[in-house]
Amino acid sequence: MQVIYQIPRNSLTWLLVAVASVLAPHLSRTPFWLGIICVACICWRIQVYRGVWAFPNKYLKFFLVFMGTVGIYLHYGTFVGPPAGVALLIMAFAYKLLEIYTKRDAYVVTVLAYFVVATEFLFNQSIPMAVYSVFSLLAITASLIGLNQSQSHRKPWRTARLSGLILAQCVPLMLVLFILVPRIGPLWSLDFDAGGDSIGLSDTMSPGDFNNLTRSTSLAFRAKFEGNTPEPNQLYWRGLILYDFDGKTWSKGSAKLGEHQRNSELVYWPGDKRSAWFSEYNQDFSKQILATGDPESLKVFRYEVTLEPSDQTWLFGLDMPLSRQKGIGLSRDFRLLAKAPIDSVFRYQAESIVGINVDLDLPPWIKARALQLPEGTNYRALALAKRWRLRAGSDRGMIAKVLSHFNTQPFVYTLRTDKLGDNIVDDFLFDTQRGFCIHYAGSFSFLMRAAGIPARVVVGYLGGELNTLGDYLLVHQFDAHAWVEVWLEGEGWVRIDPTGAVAPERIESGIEQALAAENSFLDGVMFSALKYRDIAFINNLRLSVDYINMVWHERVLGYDSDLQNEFLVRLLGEVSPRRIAMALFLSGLLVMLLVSLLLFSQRSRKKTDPITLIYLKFCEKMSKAGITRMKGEGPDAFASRIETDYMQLGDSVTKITQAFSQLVYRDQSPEAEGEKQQRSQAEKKFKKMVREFSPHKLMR
Amino acid sequence: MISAVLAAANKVILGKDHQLRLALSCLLAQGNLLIEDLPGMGKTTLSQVLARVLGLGFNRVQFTSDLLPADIIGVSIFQKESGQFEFSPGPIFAQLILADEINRATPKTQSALLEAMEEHQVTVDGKTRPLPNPFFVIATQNPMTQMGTFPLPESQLDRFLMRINIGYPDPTAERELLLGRDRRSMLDDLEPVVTLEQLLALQAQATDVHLASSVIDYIQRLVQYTRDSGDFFTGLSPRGALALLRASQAWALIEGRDHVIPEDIQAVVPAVVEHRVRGAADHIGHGGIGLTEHMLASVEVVA
Repeated sequence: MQVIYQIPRNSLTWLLVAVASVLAPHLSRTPFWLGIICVACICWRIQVYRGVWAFPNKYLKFFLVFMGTVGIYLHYGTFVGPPAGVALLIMAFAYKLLEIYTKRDAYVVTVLAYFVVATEFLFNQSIPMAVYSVFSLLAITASLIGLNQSQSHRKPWRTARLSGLILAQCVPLMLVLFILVPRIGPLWSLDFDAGGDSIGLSDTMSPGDFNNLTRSTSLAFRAKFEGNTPEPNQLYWRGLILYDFDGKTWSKGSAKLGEHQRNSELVYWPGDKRSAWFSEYNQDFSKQILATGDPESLKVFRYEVTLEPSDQTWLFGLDMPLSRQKGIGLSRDFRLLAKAPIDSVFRYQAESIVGINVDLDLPPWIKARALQLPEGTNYRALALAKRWRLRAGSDRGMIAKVLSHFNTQPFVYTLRTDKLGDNIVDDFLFDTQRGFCIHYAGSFSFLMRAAGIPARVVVGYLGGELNTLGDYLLVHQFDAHAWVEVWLEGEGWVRIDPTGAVAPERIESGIEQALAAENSFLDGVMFSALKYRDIAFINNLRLSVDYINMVWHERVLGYDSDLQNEFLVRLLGEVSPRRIAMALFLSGLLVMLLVSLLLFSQRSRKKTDPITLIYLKFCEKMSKAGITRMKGEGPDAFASRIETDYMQLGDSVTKITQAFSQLVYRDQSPEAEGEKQQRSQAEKKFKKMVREFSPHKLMR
Repeated sequence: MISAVLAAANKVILGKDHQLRLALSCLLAQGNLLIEDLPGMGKTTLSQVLARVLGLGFNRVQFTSDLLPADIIGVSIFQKESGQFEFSPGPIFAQLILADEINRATPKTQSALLEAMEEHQVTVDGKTRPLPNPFFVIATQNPMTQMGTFPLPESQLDRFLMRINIGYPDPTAERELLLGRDRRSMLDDLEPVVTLEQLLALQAQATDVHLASSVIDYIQRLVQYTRDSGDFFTGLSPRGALALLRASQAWALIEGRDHVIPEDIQAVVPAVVEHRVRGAADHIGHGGIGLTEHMLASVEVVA
């Protein structure tokens, strides 16, 4: 009969706690049946421990594993990539619980648990998750300790305390490794799916969009300015430019424009010299800077943006942005772009020059795109635009006419809009007259195009909330906004925000003020600290938490090779492999030394007496020769064991042991002077014996 | 002298040298002994042998569930001739008492005996009477799991310096026992090996056995282990630590040394410690059987 190893109860308790805590965060992402499997495995394991159920037999095990694997393949369609891989790992991990026959199996489960903790960071790197993982580590370590305790050990808290102590001792070493170990970019790239749908702007715009966004309190990005922050009404974060209007929806571009569309996607990447339009843009810059005669008059803002995952490639920047960071491109319509969709928190630096004119000479193909109109819709708006243009006499006059129309007619800025019919521009302009930025920006560009003025819709965010703690801006999803850029002869692209004609407070002080009258801001959002920002305490708390989060992102998660390099240069003066290795070695040594000193000072409150130390040296010699004194073995017992097992050594070992025993265990109250001398002689003799003792020589 | 005692005893009790040594060291340390084993393992014989070779007055009390304290201590009986009450001493007035199957008696009777063990005197009818010197109690008990027993509470178990098990004899010893003479008649042939004075001198000598500081350290480490390791439900009390100390001194004396070495402590640990502690996983109170082995292996001897 096979003897089945029973995990010590104390360890099993911790092991199950550890397994449950390790699996829990994963289960929100994995298919639901995997969660059922995990819970079932834990319950089964408990029943096995209680002796109620038996372990599954091998056919059942094979069946379960096979079905699980098939299930994972069906769910993910692949075994490659983190989500599917982790799901497989979790399944195997849960099943391994039912396979603990020997102590070794129990070790395998604990080590796997450590690994599963690490995989969670593939998906979630927030502070709460990090704290939670520390708790998991505590439980796993406790179960590892429990495995090495006796069966009868019944004090789980004591085990947990020991585990905490061990982990606490690791912290300094962890810090050293975190700071010093060179960060090498991943050798492979993983396709991370952040899990769940990331909310944000989409690359189309039609009435009814934005409704979700304006209700979302999640963060879009944080921005920190070097020097002073621009006025709120200048914080137009351009994200996406929409050219094409099909009568209902504004979108990035359509196939109709053929090769021009490809040209429009021309992106300049830093270091790319062949991009003709970019050198033109640069020349424009220089010309204009020269023309003003005073480069200082052009306001330059430098800022760093920490973007939350958006699953899109576009980045956000103020008018007209430029980034020298590697991997960030500038599109033909002066937007910042990333090479790949942003699926994890992404940081970039950029600068913007306010007041610069771009595209003074508009290439015809862009002009054509910026004038495109759908055929056969919105006749009334078309006619109106033509009439007004004639009457206005100039492009500027036309713009002023439309804006004053929005301003003087009973247009309302509201999130509670009415449903629009097929001709959305007509319906909005002449019937409902209720809407928000999308409606105004959309109809405004329509009117401009109808009047022959090139116009395009810009989608992005407007404003942001200043966190005075770290002096940075918080831009939320509800700050999403749409406005218009029109091209004017001699001025290039000019930003016009038609929403400002209706609800100036939207631009000056944010969407909350704009909606104050109808009180629809964050309508339907129940639990968000943002909703209660009138209460000073909650608001401060919210901003502090965000500040901590930002520091976490910047200092901990953002500690990449660049930052490390910068830091190490400051620390070491020069970064070379030798120096890093030296620093690693030395600080590691220092940490170990400090920890061991701490432990030592706790343990050796009583000093070991010198004779015992010499005896321990003798034991060490023996140990090197392969004969180790066991912990609970007294000197005499040790000597007699050696005597029987290793005859050659017997004589000298017995002598040493006797001398030691005499010196340490006998009554040593020297009364007469002569005895004192005798004792010191005996000590010397003992020392000499141990010094000259060499088990290797004797055993030869 | 001690080896003579052991040699004489070994003639009757075959193959149980270690148990004999423990029992003797218990007596030399002036402690009381509890022998726990199944019926027929030689508990009674062991105590009788000890009484004989040490030349001690021996009384045996068979404990039953209806035994009363007066049955042990004695009663005052009215004497017609003198017209006075006269104390008729009970079996407790002897140098060595064998309290057979102590856990069959009710707690009331048990406590009467235990008081005598602790105070070395009994009080009857308001008069305190001293017990003979030396005074030992050897109690035997059946394992707790047997029917009709009143288990001794922890506080009273603590009064016994040692608890030993005799265990089955090994085949050679058992064969010799089967082929040999009747043990009872052999008992009668045993002659005392030591005089009373010699025995008292030995007891005094046992307390003088030297304890080096590193030995005390070792005892402290052991005691600390019972309190900290989590293996035990309750740790060892200071009285337990003292018992360990005294027992190891007596053991060293039997081994013919004037000082204690760690091996002496290790030899007496199971007998001294196991009935005073309880394993953390033990809810009915078997005692720390087997746990001391783990403890001895885990505590550093030389440090």
